[in-house]
Amino acid sequence: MSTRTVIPMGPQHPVFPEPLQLKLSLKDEKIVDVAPALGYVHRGIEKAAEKNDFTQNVFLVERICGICSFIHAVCYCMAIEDIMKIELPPRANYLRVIWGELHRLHSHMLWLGLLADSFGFESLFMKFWEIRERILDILEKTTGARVIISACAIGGVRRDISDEHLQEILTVIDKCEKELNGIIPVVMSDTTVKRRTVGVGVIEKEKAIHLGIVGPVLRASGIAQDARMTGYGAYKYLDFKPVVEESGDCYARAVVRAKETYQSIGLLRKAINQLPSGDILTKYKGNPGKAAAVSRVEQPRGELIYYVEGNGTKNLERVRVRTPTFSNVPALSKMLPGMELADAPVIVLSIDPCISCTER
Amino acid sequence: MTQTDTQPQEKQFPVLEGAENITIDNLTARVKKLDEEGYRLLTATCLDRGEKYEIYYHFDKDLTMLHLRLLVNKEEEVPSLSLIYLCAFLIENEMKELFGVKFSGLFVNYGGRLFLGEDSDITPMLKCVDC
Amino acid sequence: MSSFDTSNIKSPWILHYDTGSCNGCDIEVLACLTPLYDVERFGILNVGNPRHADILVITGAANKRSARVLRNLYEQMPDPKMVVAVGICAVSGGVLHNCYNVLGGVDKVIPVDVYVPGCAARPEAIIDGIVLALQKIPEKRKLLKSREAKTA
Repeated sequence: MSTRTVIPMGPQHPVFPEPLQLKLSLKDEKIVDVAPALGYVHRGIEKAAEKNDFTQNVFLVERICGICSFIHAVCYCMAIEDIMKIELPPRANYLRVIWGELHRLHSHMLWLGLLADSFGFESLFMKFWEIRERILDILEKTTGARVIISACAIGGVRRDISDEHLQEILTVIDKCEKELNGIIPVVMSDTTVKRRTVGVGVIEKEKAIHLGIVGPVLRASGIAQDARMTGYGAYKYLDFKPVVEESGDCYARAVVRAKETYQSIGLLRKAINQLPSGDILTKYKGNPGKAAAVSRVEQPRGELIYYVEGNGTKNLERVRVRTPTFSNVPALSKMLPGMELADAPVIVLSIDPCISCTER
Repeated sequence: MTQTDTQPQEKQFPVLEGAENITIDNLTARVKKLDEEGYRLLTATCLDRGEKYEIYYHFDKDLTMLHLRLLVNKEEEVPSLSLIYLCAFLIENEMKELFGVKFSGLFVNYGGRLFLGEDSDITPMLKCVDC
Repeated sequence: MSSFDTSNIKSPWILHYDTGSCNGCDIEVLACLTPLYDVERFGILNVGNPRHADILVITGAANKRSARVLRNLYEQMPDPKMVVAVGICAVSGGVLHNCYNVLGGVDKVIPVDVYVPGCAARPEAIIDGIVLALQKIPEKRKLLKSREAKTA
């Protein structure tokens, strides 16, 4: 007779850099039920954004997530620019794309490394993180900080990238591409990787929409949905096409992200080659009026949505942040049941959980 | 810092451009129809409007967004969408916890303790006069 | 000095816990272990079990729910345990100081030995902080011994 055992996975767990608790109900080694418990990182940033000045909020929303901080700031600024009817100079739009894609590049490499770590492939983890450091070096050179770069401002960007640095970005991404060519095939075709990921944590195309999943997880289930397709910022000039895979398992998610690293490199090259000259910041006056705006952008983890409402003062009425992991967490309750306990870390990592985003 | 909205009933609130008004009675039917048409539920935004809650439901299909706007009294129960879109359970639990919105038929109920600790204050996102 | 005393300075094991950070400092702590900074070559390992750990590295401001977990982890660690608070949020709350669910710095919950400010704290600064914690271990051991003698 087998009985049910409940195993709490987390909040402190070697695989997750962040505290997430999953209460796994097991029958022998098989997972039958899962209940996510959140709240270990909840801070209340949405409320703090109402107390702060709207210009200060740019720095606050960057601290929702340290990995995709720049993209959070872009989304917030887009909503404010929509309310205040600020037109961006073209160069600022391109610079936002460049920094945004650099963030995506380092985030995807970070994730590919963590995935390797989750099934104990330490050397692959180290290799990915070694290449990732080159991207962080560029971020540091162009803005002065490694992870939270604070380069975005309402009306444009706060810093320009010099021609010399643009050339350097091109050489560094060339080098990264060469190095990735050496290890991405390991993710795509190595037997040890495939044994742990193929057919694990499958989400079928039909179920995907009702589970509300977004980003690479949705694209791995065969649905071509990417907020960059809306052409915000300079993406409309870059001929963007989303990466789609059909099988919907952990392997497909890894492949989507691996292909997206190459795609980001391609977008960076295009953006740098087309980069127009000119101003980087539009000056504006006054406070956001009594209006509401919704903006959405694509984070490395999926679609990010901001609802911002002004009330004519320097404080905002409401800032609502819908982060990609918040939509991807419910899908875990469909991915995990039926799987072995040993697969749980791989499946949880396959949605690229960012708990600090989820709980804000 | 003083909040400006001490008299919410006198204040004019902005409405999101292009939002479609719905009521509690036709919410479920409207969302079911959207589901059949292939819309994705993106999220819901709750706002504290003094006597009432204003809830926006954001949907997306082929990169166009659709917003439903629902105004409810604070005591009224809102039908849960979690049986149509499973992903709604987390969004509704969050609203229930941070704003105190009442939901009927919630698929998974965290009992108002999704994010906050057992000894925290409830409904921290409501506007308050003296903070 | 016993062999245990030397080994815990020469090869300290680290336990990392995030109490409410934005991830920025977490990935910098992980970056310390990866090839560019590579503290593993000095014998500094990241472990998952608090009972194996010598140094507790905390990132992020404490909130009400994570404070309980943090206290548990701290109590499970063997003496002499050192606590390093990494990032301005863990030091004082930083940019999140006016959030309703934030208690403030980690020192509101457990005693902290080394503070590493920065947003996000750079890997060099984190390594520096850990080295400083190691230098403080003999001092702390002496303190614990004198306390033990008193209670005995």
